[in-house]
Amino acid sequence: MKRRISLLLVFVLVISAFLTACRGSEETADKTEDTNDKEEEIKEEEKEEEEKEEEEEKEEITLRFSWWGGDARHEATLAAIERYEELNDNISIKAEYSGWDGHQEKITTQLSGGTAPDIMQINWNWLTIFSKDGEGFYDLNNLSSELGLDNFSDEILNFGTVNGKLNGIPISLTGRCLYYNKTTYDKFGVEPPKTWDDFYTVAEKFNEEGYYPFDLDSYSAWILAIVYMEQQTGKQFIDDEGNLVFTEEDIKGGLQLYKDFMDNGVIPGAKERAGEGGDIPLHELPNWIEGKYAGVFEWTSSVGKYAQPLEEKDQELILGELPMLPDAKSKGWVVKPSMLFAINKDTEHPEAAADVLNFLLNDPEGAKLLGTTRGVPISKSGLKALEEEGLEGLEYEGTKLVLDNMGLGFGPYFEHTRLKDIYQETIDKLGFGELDVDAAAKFMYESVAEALEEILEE
Amino acid sequence: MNKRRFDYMGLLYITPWIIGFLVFTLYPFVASFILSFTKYDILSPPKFIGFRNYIKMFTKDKNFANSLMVTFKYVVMTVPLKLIFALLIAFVLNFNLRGINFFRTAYYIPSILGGNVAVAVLWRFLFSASGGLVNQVIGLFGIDPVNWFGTPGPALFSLTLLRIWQFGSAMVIFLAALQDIPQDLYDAAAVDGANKFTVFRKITIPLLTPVIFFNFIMQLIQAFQEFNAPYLITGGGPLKATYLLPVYIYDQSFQYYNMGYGSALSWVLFVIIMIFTLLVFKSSDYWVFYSDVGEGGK
Repeated sequence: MKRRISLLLVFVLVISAFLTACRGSEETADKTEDTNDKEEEIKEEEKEEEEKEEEEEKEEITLRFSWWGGDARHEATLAAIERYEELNDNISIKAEYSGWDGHQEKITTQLSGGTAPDIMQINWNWLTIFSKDGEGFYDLNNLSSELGLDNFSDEILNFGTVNGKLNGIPISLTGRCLYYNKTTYDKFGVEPPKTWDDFYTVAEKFNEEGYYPFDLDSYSAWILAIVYMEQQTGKQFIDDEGNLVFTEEDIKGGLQLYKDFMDNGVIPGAKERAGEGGDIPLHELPNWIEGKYAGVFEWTSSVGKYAQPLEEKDQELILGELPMLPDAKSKGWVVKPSMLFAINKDTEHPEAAADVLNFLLNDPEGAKLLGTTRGVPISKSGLKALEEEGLEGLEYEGTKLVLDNMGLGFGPYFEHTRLKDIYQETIDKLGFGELDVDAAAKFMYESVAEALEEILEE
Repeated sequence: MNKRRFDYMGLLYITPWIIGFLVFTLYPFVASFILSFTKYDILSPPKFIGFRNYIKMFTKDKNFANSLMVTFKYVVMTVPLKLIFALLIAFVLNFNLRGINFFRTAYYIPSILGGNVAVAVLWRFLFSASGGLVNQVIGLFGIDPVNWFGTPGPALFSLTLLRIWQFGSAMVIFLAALQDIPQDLYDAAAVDGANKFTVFRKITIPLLTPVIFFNFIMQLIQAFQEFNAPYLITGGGPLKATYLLPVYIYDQSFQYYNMGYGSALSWVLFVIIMIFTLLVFKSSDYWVFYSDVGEGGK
């Protein structure tokens, strides 16, 4: 009997030790997340004490705020939060930040478990995943004065609107631009292409020595094709509601452009490009760093990582012009929000959350603290504050250029992961010669139509 | 007093494992089976749809058919090559050479490195068509450069090579078994005048069959589950030639949020692995030789 009891005791002990161990590790995980906030937290505590002495009337509010990004963004955002807390005694903000990898999974779990933060930085295509009917996030139209929505044009807010409900405010815009390696172009004594035809003349000169005017991965190739087709037809590929507008015939135009580019050495062939190293991104390829692939079609917000390796080798990346068909029916170039701020639909403090966003986006002080760590701000007053301090660089110039040449926009469904895989598959099949232009257009049309149907039905 | 009394103490010792097993293995296992009959996007509650996931998989889904084909190709290439290679190295390392322990350690190192991100990045550069080391080396033998990642067949083969390169664990098991073979059998064969090849074929291989059997099963299962290499090195390309089934499962579950469909795919993969393992077990009666069966056993 005694032995049984002692056994039972040991058992309970082990179990409880195990449970505490679990809790302990959770706590440490929390701690590592918040190490950077530690000082702030201490300050917060002091503040809280002071407040208690001073006034008890204002409600104590704690908001959770999550975002992804790199160190620069983290530091700037933490500084802005700290300033906001100084200005607003009764509000404390708990920051939850990480890199991009795994962030979407984290938010997915939080949203489905009802533990999502009050304020979230969201990706544009998340609207099509988390808020198909516009009910996934707080309708910000109800907070328009707190948010200072008059700083945003309707066109901009439209990006964040689903089903008539404003789900997110675009923080900055990013557009696809053509950037060229000036050093290489100077070497050949040619100007970077200005029209669609210029690509072929440049290619002729470049190819002799194994150079290419620029490079296109399969997804970028399809975006460029979209631009070209919009200029040809004046139509949107997929509209904002997720309907496929293009016909099979329309799609042929864009695929033909890609094939012509490849056949005429404007871009390296698909086989050659894949052979360079599987999935290695362009900016890490020796041919990019040595200037042999002398250009890239990229989001303005990502141009930095292409420019940097060239700088290291004393080469210069410059912004190119955006070609336009002589009889273009629409300007065609694409712009999208690089990211948006959203408010949790179940938040207990929508006004407070809106006030925080107003500070970060529109208040000159907040905007300056954030700088361009989330791209060039699109809020009128935020942008003005930064322009007064002086803005320049490939990203800023590129975004300005592409905004002037903006087409109908490609809608929130365009970047759905499933569709992206289809674009890539089609372009690859065309590039590897497995399908000709006609067959590839048929494949693209049918696959996209089928996928859209399934996406919408979900 | 009661000899057959249940041993609580033993149970106590393995409690941590049992909890881990229940929470991290059994629960997901059962849950994924149930989910495989639903449509589930994580955000809204699962919707029961019967066998529709499975029907779609076998009637409409071209990606599934392709991935299944690619996975079989990969397994058929990888498993035998890796076993042969591991056995070969183990055979060599079994000789009583000076500094043999150093070599045994050195040859095990690739397995420690494993299929991690750093190795994957390295692999991409090794097999790069423009100046990759592999092409430079085969160039020395007068072989034309191969566009490894730009051609479907070679792309899959480059992933096979990565798996073969990690022959260490299989090799160690072979090595242990080789050292277990009694020396007198070899001595007897030498007296009878058998040549080296005959000795290898008639003595070494039969006595190794239990270990070959074990390694074969382990490698088979692992090869079917390969994810890291295609995900990190080729991204499934070119033309989905390296789009192994586990990568497709990942895409469906975590890229498209079709958790139900992803679960169904996992279960099909599980059943396939089970069938192959059972087949190998069944076949073992005919080719696996256990020396303790008795003198008559062959």
